Amino acid sequence: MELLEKLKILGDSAKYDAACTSSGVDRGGSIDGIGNAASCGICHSFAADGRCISLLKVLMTNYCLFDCKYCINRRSNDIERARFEPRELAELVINFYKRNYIEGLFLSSGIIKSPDYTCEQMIEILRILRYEYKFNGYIHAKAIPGADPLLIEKLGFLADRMSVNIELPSEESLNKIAPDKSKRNILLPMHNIRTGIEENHTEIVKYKAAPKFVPAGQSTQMIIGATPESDLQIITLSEALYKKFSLKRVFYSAYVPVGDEKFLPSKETKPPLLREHRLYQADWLLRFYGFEAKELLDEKHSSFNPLLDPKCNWAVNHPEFFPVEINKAPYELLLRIPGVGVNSARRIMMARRTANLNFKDLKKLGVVLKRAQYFILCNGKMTEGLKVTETAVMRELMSASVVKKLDENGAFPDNSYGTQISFFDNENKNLSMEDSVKCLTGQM
Amino acid sequence: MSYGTNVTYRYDGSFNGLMTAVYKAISSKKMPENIISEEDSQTILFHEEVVVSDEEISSKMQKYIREKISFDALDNIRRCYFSNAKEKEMLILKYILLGKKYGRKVDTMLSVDTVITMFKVVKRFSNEANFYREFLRFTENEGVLSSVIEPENFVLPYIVYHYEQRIGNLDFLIYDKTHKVALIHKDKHSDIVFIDDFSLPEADDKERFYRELWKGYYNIIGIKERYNEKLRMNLMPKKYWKHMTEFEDMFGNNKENKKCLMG
Ligand code: SF4
Repeated sequence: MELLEKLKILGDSAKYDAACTSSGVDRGGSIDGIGNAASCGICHSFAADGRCISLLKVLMTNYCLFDCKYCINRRSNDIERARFEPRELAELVINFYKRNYIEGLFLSSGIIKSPDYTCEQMIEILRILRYEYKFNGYIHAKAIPGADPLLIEKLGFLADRMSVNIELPSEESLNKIAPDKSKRNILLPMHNIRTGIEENHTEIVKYKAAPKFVPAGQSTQMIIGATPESDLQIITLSEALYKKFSLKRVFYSAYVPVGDEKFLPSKETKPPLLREHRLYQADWLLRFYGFEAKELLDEKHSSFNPLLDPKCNWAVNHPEFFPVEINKAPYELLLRIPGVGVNSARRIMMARRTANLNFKDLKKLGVVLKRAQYFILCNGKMTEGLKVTETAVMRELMSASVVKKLDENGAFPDNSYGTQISFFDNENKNLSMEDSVKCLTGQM
Repeated sequence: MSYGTNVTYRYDGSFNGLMTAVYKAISSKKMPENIISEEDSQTILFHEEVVVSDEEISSKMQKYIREKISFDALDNIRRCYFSNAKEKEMLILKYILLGKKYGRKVDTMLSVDTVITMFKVVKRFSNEANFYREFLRFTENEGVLSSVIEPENFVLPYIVYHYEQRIGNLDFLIYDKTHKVALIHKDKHSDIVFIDDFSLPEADDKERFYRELWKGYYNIIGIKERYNEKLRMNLMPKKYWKHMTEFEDMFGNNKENKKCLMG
């Protein structure tokens, strides 16, 4: 088979993995090798779906012994199969890298012969790259569930980042849909990698030249919308994963149907992109804004509001925190204002040391006043002439793209939320946060 | 500093020249009407004064900025100088004057127009430099990697280090078509030189092979159900596409395909 054919097949089979970043490790070039790594990560292109292309993301092979129902590579699926020779793939990476197409390699694989054998073959590819080509660029390797811990360790000394995909947000779903995988087989390598990273840190403190184990940390991915778990369950799980396994990232991947399988959404189902987007926003709030999962959702409201981003949603439901005085509020509270991001919060902290800030200044500092104005005071005053009506507040808080998504009847045409959400024609009835908006506006 | 003098300084366009002009303005305590470079306007203005670039004064000025304001301030000034911002010289002068008065605090004065404008210029500049770490593409020919870029700002000095780190063991050339300047890296040594014209060598078989592979990969990696043209354009502005391998067929850079299309 020609290399171009192989590349298309093995790229196509790998594209549903959402992890794309090349971030987390800074490494200069070497005297005789090729490549470096920048901790901020570099996207070299953006695909037609707007996703970043940073690494050559391929499977070593898409032959697979397993039969995970959500996966196009599952054993029972009738598709074309291919496999890279280790040397052939290594050469491809180097040639792409030189031409500045990529930052490195994201290598995953279907399981051939056995998890151990598969893992050994991946190690061989990485060995050629690191030792023969002296490649210093970025490598992300997938840990193969069920492979010998020693092999995973070996892989970890060659890779910058590793990931073990948790795949589905609950054990029950995992058993039903990925019968060859088990919670244990996923969490064990995750645990081992974490321990490995910690031990390696102490090692490096002792001997500077000690080889680095997974220096960019580990990540995982969850498939969204294939199984019935709620947003609350999902972000609670993410929170636990960040804490327990010190993960660098949890990725969310809206399920794209790969066939009509039992227990899975039908082939016509559109991937729940807005839901995925909300989960990423919430994830961001957990990692950088000091929110806890239980603040964002609870048993009564277990899914994110499609109309409002999770932060606005929190804000309109917690009028007791607002309005916030920009010239006095602590950093943690600034971060909770809709329209104020990490950067603008930092700039506010900085700028107010030398000046008393007014609304015009805030705009210059990058605050999205359109949203923030309802929640803030500058020197005890709110924006002059601001009309605070429920409709006005809600309209400003909803992003234009969401508003556009609603058809004339106020429903989502792709029906990704199951229910029709009527908003514009009868706005007071169907919004759960309606009462709180009232408190909020009353207060202001 | 007194205002209302209508003298315009003309400098030679070099960084040293600009620093000399700034020094002159500060030491004479007179705010010039404008500072322009040789290229800015050919007609000689009535109240024009030519500033002769002086290396010693320039390094004195830079030392002053580093020590009295901050290291970051000097970096901002350099980036602004290399940018294509309108009237960047006066912006630099005003920024230095603020720095002279407030010291390193100047960069926290984010409600002052001069500081905000400076930050915006620096940000635009740095963004573009960043884009050329991402979207630049090399063609390999006889062991040399070459690339053509068309940046608005003069970003070459700011991407040298990156490519040295990345492929420093290989020989490479990056040609900035806008400013007609090339970065030439040969035998682990980089130079920036003026070159009137340069175009990429015709792709040989090996180069064609890898380009086809890359395009093949690029075209399958997007997920159909998620296509989002607007998002792609926001993240990768169309002006960069022209020199990117993945779009070569769209811009007719691919001579072979063009031949096919024509007949
Ligand atoms: S193990 Fe499961 S998820 Fe992985 S390639 Fe095989 S079928 Fe797909």
